[in-house]
Amino acid sequence: MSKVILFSKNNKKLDKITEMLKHHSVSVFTDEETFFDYLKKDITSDIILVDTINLNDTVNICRTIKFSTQVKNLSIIFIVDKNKNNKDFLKYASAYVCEPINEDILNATINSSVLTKNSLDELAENNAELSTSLYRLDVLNKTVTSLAGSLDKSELIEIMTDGIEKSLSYQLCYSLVFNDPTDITLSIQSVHPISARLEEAIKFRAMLSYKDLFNIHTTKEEIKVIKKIKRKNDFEYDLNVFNFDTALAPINVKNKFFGIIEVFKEKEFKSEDIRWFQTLVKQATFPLQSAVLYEEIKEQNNKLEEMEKKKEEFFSIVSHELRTPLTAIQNAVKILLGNAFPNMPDRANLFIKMIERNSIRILSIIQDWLDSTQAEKGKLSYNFTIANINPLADSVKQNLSNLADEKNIEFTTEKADNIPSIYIDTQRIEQVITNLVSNALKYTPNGGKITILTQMMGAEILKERPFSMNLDRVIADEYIVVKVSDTGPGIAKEDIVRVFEKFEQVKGTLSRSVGGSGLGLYIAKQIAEVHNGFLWLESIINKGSDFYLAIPVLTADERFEMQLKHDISNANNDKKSFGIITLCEKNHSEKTYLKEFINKLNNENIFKRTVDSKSFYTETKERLYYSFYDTNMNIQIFNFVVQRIIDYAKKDEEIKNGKKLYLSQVYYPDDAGDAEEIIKKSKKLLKEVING
Amino acid sequence: MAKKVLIVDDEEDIVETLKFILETANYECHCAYDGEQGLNKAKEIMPDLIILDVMMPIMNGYKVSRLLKFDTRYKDIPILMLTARSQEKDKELGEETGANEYITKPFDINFVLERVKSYLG
Repeated sequence: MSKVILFSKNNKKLDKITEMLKHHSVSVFTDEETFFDYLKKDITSDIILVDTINLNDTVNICRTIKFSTQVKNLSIIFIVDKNKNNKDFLKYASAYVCEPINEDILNATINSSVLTKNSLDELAENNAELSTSLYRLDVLNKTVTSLAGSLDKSELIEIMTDGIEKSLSYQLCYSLVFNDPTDITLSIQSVHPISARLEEAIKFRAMLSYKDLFNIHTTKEEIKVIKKIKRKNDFEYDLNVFNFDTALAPINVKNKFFGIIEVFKEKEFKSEDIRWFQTLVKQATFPLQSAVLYEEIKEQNNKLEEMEKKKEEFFSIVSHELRTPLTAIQNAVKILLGNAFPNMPDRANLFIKMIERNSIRILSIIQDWLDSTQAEKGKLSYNFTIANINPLADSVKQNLSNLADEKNIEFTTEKADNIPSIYIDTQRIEQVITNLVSNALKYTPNGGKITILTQMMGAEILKERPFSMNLDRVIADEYIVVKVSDTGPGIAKEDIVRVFEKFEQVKGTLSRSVGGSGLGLYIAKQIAEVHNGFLWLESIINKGSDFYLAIPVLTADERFEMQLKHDISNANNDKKSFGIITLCEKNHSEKTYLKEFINKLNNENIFKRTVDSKSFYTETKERLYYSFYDTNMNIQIFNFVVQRIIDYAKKDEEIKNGKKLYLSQVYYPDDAGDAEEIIKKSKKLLKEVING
Repeated sequence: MAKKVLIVDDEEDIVETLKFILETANYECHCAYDGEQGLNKAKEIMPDLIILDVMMPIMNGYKVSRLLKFDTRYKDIPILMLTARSQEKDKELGEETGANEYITKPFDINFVLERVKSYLG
């Protein structure tokens, strides 16, 4: 049965047709105005049947009918006079029947029109569904993409509610998120402003559904509320919102409750809507999970860094505190051992010497602690000068021969006389040799033999040594080698690599009884590497060990290049995009450009010109900042220079966004050229490093 | 007449050992245990040399040194400053305050004696 509207000016015909359409529900109109009014409101009819005979202005009326109807795909059937010539109005019709009306034909026409309308309706509905789905897929795609781009929890929630809003068109949505029991956020998004009591009610609603999760002491005042209102108008949502249809989904992260989200819609949600809503919420949980993990890791990292810092502080404080009383002990011992008390019995002397020896040992352990924490950060301080290694070997022998005598160890030095003076930190190199010899003294049994030997070694021979090393690191043709040999128990092959690690002492034989910080060789290796050299060990079990320190013979220029390259690539490896290279001029105070530089530090222009070399960094996207500093220069001025560079660099976006600065100090050798040359050279090096 | 040396350090053990070694070398030693005391004693006894610690209560060694070196009456008294190694960076700051020499802790007392001798003979 179809719903038919029938319009005719002829009452008799109306009755007749109504009779013919007894299987349909028929509404009848005879007056044009009431008919048009009805059409404007009607949304349920299937067919309009219009008797065009006896109409005054047929075309006009037919057109008005066509454009008044609100129903989509509504069929209009005209009853026409077969003999009438002007049939223009027929273009407004879906079909027509002629007078005299045949009941069968009329019914068939109506039926086929209804069939057409139903098919069209179905098609339109499918189409609409398809486009909604496409739109939602698009929203989902965009939402998922945005979700993947964030690790911020509140931002993720926002992206999710945004996606829900776009595809569900809700009136009000709230989400409650537990970061932890003391950090609970309720965010409300609404089309219209909401009344104060509705806000309170939403809080209660959210809390009541999950009251178990709240701390007993949590009050609703502790919940942080974020509101987003779309339209600022007078209309306000009140408690009536709770009569709307709702959809609710919990947000679970790692199987733990994380929050809830509830949406309110004035019209009913369809079942696909609900499914859709749940899909979107689920999509958000994966990145939320990552965000939570990320936060946990970040926190853990911070804690670790904090602990590391505390450890360092502790070490530093303990070391300094220990050193003061130890020094007092040593000085007291020196007085006792000096000429002040000539009548000291020999046996007393023996014990005083014991005190001295052991306090020296404690001091060296403390020094190792301090050095190793510094060495780890690459922060051991160095002081390079041109010097010869032979006197260092002598000095070590002098300092340690007492210890060797006590163990009745034959301790000798063999120095080659063709050793050139090179650019080294004499104190540090002496420290390395001391560490090697103390190590040998520890492990060599009574009556053994220890030798310090200095010699030159060609790069070719160095490469053939039986230790695994990076041949790329052989950078000079000639090396100065210090070899410390002992007749100790030797070290097994598998232990050799570990010897240079932190807190490592080779176990077995008599070694456990040997004291020491276990840091000496570790520090020695760091120092060797800073000198671009090598430290290695060759050993035969039961015969003894040979420790080698090899330092390349470099010209001042080569050394400068080495260190600069090293620092720049360090900055690159750490993904710190900014290298601050502080070129430290040593003993260059007479050179006028340096004096000028320092004198004009307060002049912004000079400073900027020196720091800001635009042509350079637009080319490489990397930045290099310079300052020159004489080691005799006042530390305050130096700090001022560094601070100015940092301030300047901080204006840069990337540094603001958390990229760290790499600060390096490069000592430029005594025979350096002028400032221009140094800058040119560092630029060239930087480019080389960056371009691989 | 024996040359006068003023030792200023809050660590009594350090003062004691320095005093002993210097007295053995025939110097007349005076001691003070904080910066203010040291400053007053310096003005009172006009020593020939001052051994001055940096980290001290009431007034630190830098300040004592600065106050003496900026006063024409005392500016010629040599000052040997004792610093901890961690304060090495302060060294240059200290030199501005006029100390003649720096000796880092822990130090060898025989070395200190040598330095004192180099100023006083």
